[in-house]
Amino acid sequence: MNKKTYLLLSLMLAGCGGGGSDNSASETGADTVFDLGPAGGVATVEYSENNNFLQFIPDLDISDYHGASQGRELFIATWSPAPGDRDLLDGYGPLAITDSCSNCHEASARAESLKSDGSTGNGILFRLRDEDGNEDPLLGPQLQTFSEDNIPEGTVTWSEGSNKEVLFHLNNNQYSLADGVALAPRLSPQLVGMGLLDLVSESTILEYEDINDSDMDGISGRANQQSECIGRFGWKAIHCTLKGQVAGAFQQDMGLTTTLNALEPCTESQSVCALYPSGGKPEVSDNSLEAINDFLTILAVPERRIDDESEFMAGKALFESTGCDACHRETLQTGDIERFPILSNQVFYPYTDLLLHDMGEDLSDGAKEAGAEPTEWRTPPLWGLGLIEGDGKSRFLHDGRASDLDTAILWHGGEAQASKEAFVELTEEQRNTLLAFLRSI
Amino acid sequence: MKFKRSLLSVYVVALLTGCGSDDSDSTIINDGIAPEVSTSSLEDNRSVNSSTFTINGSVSDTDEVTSVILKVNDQALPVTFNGADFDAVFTLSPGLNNYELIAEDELGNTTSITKQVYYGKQVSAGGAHSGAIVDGQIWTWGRNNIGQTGVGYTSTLSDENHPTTPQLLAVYDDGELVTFTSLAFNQNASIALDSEGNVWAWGDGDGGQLGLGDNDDIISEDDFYTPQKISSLKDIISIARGYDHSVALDKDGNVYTFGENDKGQLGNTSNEDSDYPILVTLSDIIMIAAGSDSTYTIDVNGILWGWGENNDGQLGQGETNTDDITSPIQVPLPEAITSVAAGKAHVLALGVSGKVYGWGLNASNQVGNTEEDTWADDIYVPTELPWVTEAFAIWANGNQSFVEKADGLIYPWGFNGLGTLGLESDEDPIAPTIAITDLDGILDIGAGALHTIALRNDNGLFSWGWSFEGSLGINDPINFWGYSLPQKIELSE
Repeated sequence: MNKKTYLLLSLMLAGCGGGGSDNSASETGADTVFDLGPAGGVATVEYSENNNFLQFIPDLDISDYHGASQGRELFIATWSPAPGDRDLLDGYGPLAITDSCSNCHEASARAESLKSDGSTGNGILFRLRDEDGNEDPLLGPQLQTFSEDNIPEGTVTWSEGSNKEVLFHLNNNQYSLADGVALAPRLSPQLVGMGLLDLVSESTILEYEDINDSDMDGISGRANQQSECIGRFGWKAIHCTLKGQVAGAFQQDMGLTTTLNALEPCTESQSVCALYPSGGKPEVSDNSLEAINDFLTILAVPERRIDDESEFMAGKALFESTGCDACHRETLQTGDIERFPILSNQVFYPYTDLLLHDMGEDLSDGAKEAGAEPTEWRTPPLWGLGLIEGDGKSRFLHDGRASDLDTAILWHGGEAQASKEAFVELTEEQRNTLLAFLRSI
Repeated sequence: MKFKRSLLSVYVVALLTGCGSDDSDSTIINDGIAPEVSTSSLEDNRSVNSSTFTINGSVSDTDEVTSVILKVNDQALPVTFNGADFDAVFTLSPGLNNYELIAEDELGNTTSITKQVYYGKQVSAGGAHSGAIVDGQIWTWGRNNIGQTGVGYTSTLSDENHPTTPQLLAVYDDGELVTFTSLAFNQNASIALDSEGNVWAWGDGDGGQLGLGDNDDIISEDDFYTPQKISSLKDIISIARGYDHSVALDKDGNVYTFGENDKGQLGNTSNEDSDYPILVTLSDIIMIAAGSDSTYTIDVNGILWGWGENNDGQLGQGETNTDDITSPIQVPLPEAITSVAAGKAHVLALGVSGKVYGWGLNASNQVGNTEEDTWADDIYVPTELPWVTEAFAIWANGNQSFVEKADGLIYPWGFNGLGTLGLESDEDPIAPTIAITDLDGILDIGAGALHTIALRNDNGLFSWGWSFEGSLGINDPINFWGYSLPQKIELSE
């Protein structure tokens, strides 16, 4: 635009004065009026049938991507053992689960976890800890199903228990887990708004903390306090930051070291890590880690899929009257974000408080992890679940025992027992309304 | 910083009609309202590749508009004006051209719009090397095994001094720093046009394509690692490159070719390579372009001429005439054309109507196809593309095509296997129906064999496609890797 045009523009703006507001007539009285902001604030993308979870924020200019385009390639790349053809992408293994981030975090679905033939897929991994938090002395804190020497730590099959819970079986001819060490399953999440969750301040998380249930509502969420920060990522809230979560996955799932986790996933008893070449120190450069972090940070949140707004609001009212929202907190807000200013002060709708809650013995995995007891789980975000339910492979809860959302609700216990019972006591029509709400958020 | 091309006229109209109409002082006869001017013109600094530039638009006013004046470099030029619509044609100089449109009503109120258009290629990409002109200086990066980046040595990605990110080429002529106006990179050779009308060449000299030989029987095929001035060319205003030959246009509308000639791409009825520019028997040419082994020119009447390789129908002569043609032949088109772009063996032409025509190799649907797969792998005659009705610009290379539609977005189609089209999808689009995400305000596109460079109106440089030997100009490139989404290229200070 040339100077003259700018002049004209300023004349126009100064001369015309303030424009009238464009508020539509506000409706009053009914709580069925849809009054929610976009699901992910400015980070929201219109729903599409494909690639819901790996799209960039539409309003973010390419100039402001930082390392995200590079991060995207690192995320979808297949990494190779060292030395590989590409320095940037080698170092995979020698112990690992899979060789690409996108094998476990797909563009449109959750990766397959419990396969119909009784085997397990990329969509589930297993921590190895006892109820006091001790890891398995030989295999370490997580099971790696791949090894360069073709002697993996084991594979896992599953079967359904008498109460329709899932039973996991470790197949390993060499070794049994130490006494008390559990196969603690963790489904991999679809990527919705991880960047937004990362950008919430700790004080915002603590707003909902109520360790001693001082408000006597039966809910006593607690932040998973780590040595210097509050855990918020993972089923047990073991990582404080998205970058920490990524570095953890690089190490334990892909056998890739970073400056945050400088060691391969071998215990002192495992020699394979010393026998195979390293892809560098670290194998994932700081730039690459930052690039992946940028990529995950600017992934957009798919907008809600709502056919009938008043029906949606009725479902939301039931969600609240049954007490679901006591843990599945509707909104969170980001702080001031220097690297991605567009993401500053965004209100979004993840339906999580990022706190740990005791969910009862039926959901215990027998493993304590990073301070989270076997029965404690971080409230999982609910947004985007409707996009994957019913796709034939996506499953719910930490071990995938539920293949649909109503089954998942019925497994709720502990602090959520009352809410579960309230759900059961709804009429069928009300339950369907509530489920429709869940599927559309 | 995303300016849509329509904003200028919209704002001007809003100012003039919106604010002025409240004036209640009826004793003043002169309403003080200047004419409204809207034009169909491009972004300021926008690259065009034809020496003839047409501007049209309309004016209106509460009073009669008496005149529209076009000033180019402070010289008034004739405008065809019927009281409402106007159009004007003027000849561009290489590089940046300033022009001003002044509309005056019968009461003496005037409106003036000043705009700029850039004649020449500001970005270009070859086999795996790339370049950009910023403030008259050339920056290059990428593959350098034959010195095609011009940095003065050969190198590969594992070398510390390999030009993975943009390097400034300071070129001196008789001790004076040379300023450049246009680039033409393709395969492993590079040519550039300076502001004095000289052409500089470097990289792979096979077949004499650098044009640095003497007018004798000995073919000079030396490679050069820094830009060399082609002493036999003067007063050049435009340059283009095929895969192994080069093309130049001078200010009088004459076309020169040099390099390999095995397909007749030099247009002199022979198949002898030439390291010395050959004058092609044509006149009044306003635009040049080159496919892999074919050459295209547009004359002042909008007629397209082509010569060289024709085995995929790239000269548009019909299914029964697919032999190479060694001298200019008219390509049959239903209207006058304003621009031509050629890939490896396919061609796009932009008509004055805004329609786009395509022909030649279509194995990757680079010309286009229907869901029913009704378009053949070779298209032997220019065919109107039904997916575009009002195109602003076209680009092509390899098996890729790009069109800018009236919405200011870039729509690619054809081969997409290596991130070549800048789309999030890995599928090969069979027609220009999906835009490259968020890429508007484009000033120029440099389409390479498998990667592409784009220049935006905020001076942002972006790249996407096949990352090989630093072709994308980014830090820490993954080698042998297709980057699907545009990435910003940073120029160091």
